[in-house]
Amino acid sequence: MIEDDTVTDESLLARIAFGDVEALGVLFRRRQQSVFRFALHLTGSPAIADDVTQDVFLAVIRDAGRFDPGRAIVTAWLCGIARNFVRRRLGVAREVASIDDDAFDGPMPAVTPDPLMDLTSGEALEALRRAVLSLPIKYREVIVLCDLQEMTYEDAASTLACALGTVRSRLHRARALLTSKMQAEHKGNEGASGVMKRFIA
Amino acid sequence: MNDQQQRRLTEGLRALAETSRTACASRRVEESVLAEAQRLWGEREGGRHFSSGRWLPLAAGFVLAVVGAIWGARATVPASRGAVIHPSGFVTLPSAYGLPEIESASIIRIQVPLSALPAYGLTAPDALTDSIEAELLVAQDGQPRAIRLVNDPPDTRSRP
Repeated sequence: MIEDDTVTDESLLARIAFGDVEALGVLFRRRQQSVFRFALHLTGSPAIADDVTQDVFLAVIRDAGRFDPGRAIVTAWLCGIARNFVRRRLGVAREVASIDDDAFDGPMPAVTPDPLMDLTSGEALEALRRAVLSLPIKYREVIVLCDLQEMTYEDAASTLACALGTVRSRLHRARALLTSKMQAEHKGNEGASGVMKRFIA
Repeated sequence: MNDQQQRRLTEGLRALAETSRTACASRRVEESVLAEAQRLWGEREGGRHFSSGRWLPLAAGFVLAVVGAIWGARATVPASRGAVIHPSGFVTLPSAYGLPEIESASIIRIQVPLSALPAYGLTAPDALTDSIEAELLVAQDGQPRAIRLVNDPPDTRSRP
């Protein structure tokens, strides 16, 4: 039996490459959340995030032997696979990325101690969520990886298969776009939300 | 974007990240993935055994042994003629004579029709069933060399 905490992701992948179902189960339980959240933030749809997570680990079953530990950490590699599946799905069902889509209506667990702050923050966060989802995909990816998943720039570069400088420049551009979108939304709802000003002051 | 905007945006993104901190794939995803792995690797496992050719000569040897034994029985050769009892109670199959000596062997358990036992050099026990379990001693070349019955009454034990 595999001790969950002592075996590295790389060792698990090596075992998976030889058909070890138990290792696959351990890796799934350890990393599925990163993959799911990445897909969820990119698409706004828990159902699609579920499907992408499944696709990613099915790909792991087939291609675990192709993982190169010298090029990326396992989480970055998994998110890189997830990125391809997300892009494919967004290409097929582009409306999912639209801010008008009701995919954003799905419940998201909020963690804040103050009920009053919860209400007001929720309004602002929903606006921010919509703004993230309306970003062009290449900017959305860096925001999700670096800001929402707290991945290092190096790992994000591995995930996106691009240079470190590209991650930095995209992130800078993405944040500027987000700010501008939040300002535009605020102007559209002038007076409706004082909380919105917190982000654009 | 000024520093204050940058700071507030960062705070907002952190709060947004917090809203999905506990989000995870549904249970059915894990079940589907593991089921697919078991299906795929189970098939591959079966394929490996087959492709390695380990069972092919064994099966061929078994068929040859049965055919040879039946041929011998039809030729009214006494079943016990020249049979050798191995220390473990195995009886040499008629078809095994002339084959190279055993260097290493495996034992496989099979179900044998009672009517076929004489062809193997064995006496059929009085049993209510039509078949009985037996063990085949299969040599390194995949050819079966000897047979013994499993859990048969003492008086119907294989004999030369």
